[in-house]
Amino acid sequence: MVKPRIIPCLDVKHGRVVKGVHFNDLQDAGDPVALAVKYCEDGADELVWLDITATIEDEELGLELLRRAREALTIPLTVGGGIRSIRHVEELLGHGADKVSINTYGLDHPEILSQVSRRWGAQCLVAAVDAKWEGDHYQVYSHGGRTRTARELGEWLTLAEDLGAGEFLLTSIDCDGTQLGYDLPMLRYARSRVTRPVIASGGAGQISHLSSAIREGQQAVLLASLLHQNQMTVGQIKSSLAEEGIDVRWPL
Amino acid sequence: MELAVIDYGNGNLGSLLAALRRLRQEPVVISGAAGIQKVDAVIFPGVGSLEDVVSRLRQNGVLPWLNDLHAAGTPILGICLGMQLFFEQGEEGGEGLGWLAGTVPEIHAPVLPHIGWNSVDTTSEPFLWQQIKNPPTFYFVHTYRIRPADPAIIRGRTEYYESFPAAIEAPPLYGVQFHPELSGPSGAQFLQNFLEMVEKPHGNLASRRLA
Repeated sequence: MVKPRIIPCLDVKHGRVVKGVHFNDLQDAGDPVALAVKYCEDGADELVWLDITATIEDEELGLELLRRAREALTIPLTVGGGIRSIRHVEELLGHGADKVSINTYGLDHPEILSQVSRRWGAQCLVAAVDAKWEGDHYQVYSHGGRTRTARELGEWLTLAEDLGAGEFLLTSIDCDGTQLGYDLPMLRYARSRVTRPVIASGGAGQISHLSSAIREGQQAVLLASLLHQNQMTVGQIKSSLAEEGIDVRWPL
Repeated sequence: MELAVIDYGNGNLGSLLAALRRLRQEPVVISGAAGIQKVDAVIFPGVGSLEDVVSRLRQNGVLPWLNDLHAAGTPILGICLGMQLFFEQGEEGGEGLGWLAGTVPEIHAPVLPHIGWNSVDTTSEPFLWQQIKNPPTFYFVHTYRIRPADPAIIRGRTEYYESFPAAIEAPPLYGVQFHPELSGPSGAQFLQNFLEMVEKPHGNLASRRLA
């Protein structure tokens, strides 16, 4: 059976890692390439690289960093953040991204999802979705969780799947940053609405949060603050999961 | 060694080319008849859809060259979709190259694509598994699987809700359902084993091929 994927997320801005970690063995903890390589060597199964590209200069810098990361990385790399055109997707894939992650622009312009999927295949397209519980349903938000959209979560997931998303990166706005665990009810709801793999995101603060999500059948979990704030390595996390009897890719 | 990587036109070859560069190869990327040259081995990468690829290879004039290479016994490694292309036909009616008898149906599973690292239960033949840590574990991303008419060509199987072939050997065709270029040190070793087999055609692998 497929092993659960442990996926660190790098947030990059102006060519530097934000929400950085401070590993003793990295000379420059703000260098996204060095951090990506470290995650890869530590046992990450895949990486998500979110580059907040605000300007053309940011975009060019991001592409150069991506190219350097690709030369060294031996695992899959999903790149997202501010994708607004097919040309940008083309550049990202041309510089070594294996998949692209599209969020806000896809909500405003759903046709970009089908364009990417038709041209490069559904396996190339990750639809990133941020959602929040509103008392009786989950609502989709855009612009990094700041803007309420008209979409209910299940409705949007179904549409994005039909348009050709090969995978979802689903972040719970309620749980993100709390370190209290993944939003399991929301993940269950998403699972009931779509047949594509869903990467669980938002809320992991300790290893037991990963194991409970994985034991529930989540195939992939995104890690951000667990790596950033607890100063744990991917290897330590995977070895703990393996000790608990979870069939992760470990030892490498 | 002259190694060719076929570009089906989507330009999403970054990981494969980087993996080959790490093995000190500088492959030539073939995207049209104009780029055709003499090569020692070919890699079919694994992105796109079956139907698109064959029509594109026909349009860009690469197809006759590939048929000649196949007939001449040039080693060809198909990765994921690249391996599926060797067969006759996909479930949705997409046409393959028809070099091997068999079909490419969708996997029966509640969640698709099958994405992630999975182990391969290898057969007793050495194939290209040398020096790869046991159990061999690789990165997969696919919705379809192969169903070869001749099960004797299978060199490993993987399980995702159902069991399917993860590797085949039908010289000069070699195929894997996983992505060695995305599979860490095990994947790099696999590619290295393929390159060594191409470079030493009279070694153990080749003598087995003649048997």
